[in-house]
Amino acid sequence: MDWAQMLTGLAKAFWELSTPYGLFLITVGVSVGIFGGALPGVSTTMTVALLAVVTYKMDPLWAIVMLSATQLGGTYGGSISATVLNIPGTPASAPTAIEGFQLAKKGEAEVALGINVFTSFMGNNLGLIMLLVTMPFFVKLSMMFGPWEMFWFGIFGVFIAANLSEGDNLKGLIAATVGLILGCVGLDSIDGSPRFAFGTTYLVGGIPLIPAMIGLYGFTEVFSGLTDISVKSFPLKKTSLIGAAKLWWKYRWLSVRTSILGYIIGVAPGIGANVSCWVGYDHAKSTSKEPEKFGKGSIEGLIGSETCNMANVPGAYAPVLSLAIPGDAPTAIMLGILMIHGVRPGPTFLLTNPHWLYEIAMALFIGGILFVVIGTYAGKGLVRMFVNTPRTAMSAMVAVLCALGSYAANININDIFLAFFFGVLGVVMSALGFPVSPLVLGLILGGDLLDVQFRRALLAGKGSITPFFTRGVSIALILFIVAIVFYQYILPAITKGKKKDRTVILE
Amino acid sequence: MSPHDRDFLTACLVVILAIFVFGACLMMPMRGDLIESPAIFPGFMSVVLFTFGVAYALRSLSRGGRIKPGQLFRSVVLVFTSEQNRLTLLGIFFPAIYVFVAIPLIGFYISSALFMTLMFYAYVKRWRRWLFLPVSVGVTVGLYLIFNRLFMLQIW
Repeated sequence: MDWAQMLTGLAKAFWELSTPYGLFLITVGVSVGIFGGALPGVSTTMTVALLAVVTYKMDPLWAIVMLSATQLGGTYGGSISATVLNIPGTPASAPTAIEGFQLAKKGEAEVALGINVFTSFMGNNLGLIMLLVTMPFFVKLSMMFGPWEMFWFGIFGVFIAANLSEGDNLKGLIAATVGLILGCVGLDSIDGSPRFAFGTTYLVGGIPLIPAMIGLYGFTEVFSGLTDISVKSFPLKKTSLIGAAKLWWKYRWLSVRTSILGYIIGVAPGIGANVSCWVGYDHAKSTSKEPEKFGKGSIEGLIGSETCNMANVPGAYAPVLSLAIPGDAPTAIMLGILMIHGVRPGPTFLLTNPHWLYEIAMALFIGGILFVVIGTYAGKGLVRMFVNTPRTAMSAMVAVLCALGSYAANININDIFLAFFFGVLGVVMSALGFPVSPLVLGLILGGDLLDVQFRRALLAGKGSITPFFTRGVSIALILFIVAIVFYQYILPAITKGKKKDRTVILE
Repeated sequence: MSPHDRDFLTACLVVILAIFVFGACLMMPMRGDLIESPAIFPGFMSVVLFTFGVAYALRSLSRGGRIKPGQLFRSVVLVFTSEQNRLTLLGIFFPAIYVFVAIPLIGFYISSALFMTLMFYAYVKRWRRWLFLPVSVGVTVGLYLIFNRLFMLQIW
């Protein structure tokens, strides 16, 4: 790697983007992204797609600069509504809703938002450094990812899902399996046959993720908060960005580890931030000295999911620029925009146009600084509004937002009914002691990842399951999963058994 | 009903769900080889769910969980009569009317404004009453401007 060329390229890109026009585009991108991401039902992908319309007449490089800033803002924006309203603005902010909203209930909404903004900024920067340094290596690695490896990655996700349950792994596994089955509802993407549609046209389209998540997190909260006049409003402890930075510093190594995980997941095509946030959250939970705090407002949980989520953004650019394979949905739109402009990324693209990588990296870096400023003020404004509103009034408004968010995703009234159904399901699951997060992760992994990759792998191997266990990367992933299972399930069980024996002797 | 009784009942429901899913998989169209079947993955998952359901049932049985019909009936009655459950059920009932009746009948924005106003009247004690309607209408107009005008979505 030519370090001198890279540093010169980055300096040049910084100079170009620091012009009023460049800063204007990045500011617009970040602001619209945060706004769109924070609105329930308006995903980052939708925001990027809507803003893409205004980039048709722009220079392609400027267009990508603005859209990458939008993606960055949108990825962060989802965490604002997740923290303040318990409605994940984007699927990737679901773990933030778990911990952030609990912190908000304790009066620490500003702390949560401060941590979100600062860790997102750091996750983005760490991801950028990895993008610049390791891109050639990870691109080669992602080329080795076939359906067999993607399947094992999905299995890894299922074990994460089980670990998301509070105490009872069996209940977590049951919830995750139900989620995986629900993820299979709809037209089979390989065969084209309807599955579990029961003669309805609506279910042929599958279970849409956004209404399901809005129901499980948002409506569930509405049902308990709407008639609960015992809680007047949530308290508020004020904090500054420096306070959040100090907290980040305390957990800096967790942030570094989850950034690496997020970046790797970002590079792997087709997995994306929806999964990476859970991987980061699970890693934070597995390595925490206070795992009992998870689900009750854990700072580590927030840092783990937010950093992993944001480091995923730079990672997603590696396959799109070098292989023309989008890492996630927003980068797929950007690839489309590039093609409209006649730019064709591919294996030789970065050799002939290295400045593209530097410009995008710098746009994400400057975008990161801007979203710290914009995000902090937007978040604080929302928090003030949140704490000054009685809880019952807030619940009524959140109910409207839940309905609107479910509806806006696909403009289908049945999505509101579905969100409501998932809300009731969330209440029932909670009453029976089942965690909802494994169900959400199962829903994400079920249809698009595990099912499709499993069958693609079987078809590619002509029905043989041998390649699942003989390919190099597959073996590495299996060993990784075995290690996870050992450390998360077997080792704690052995240690618990030994502790019990000791107690008996003492007694 | 003790937590173990409740767990055993839930485990039975999980097993029934797994059998139902497996049955639905058997009815899926079969073209070509088994590996090409759209039922292979959900079918496999239903077997996994069945296994977990049985393990869950055995665990709750070993801890003393049983299904006692009389107790089951009393628990169902308790769901509707206890003060906390009554509040939660009301919390589900009002949004249900809003989602299933008001939105399909009179459209999203009008029903939202009405829903918020009524909920404010019923449960909000800290605000002055004259504020309820302007706040509801203001929020609704704000949402209309953002979603219909700015994001150009056709929501009515």
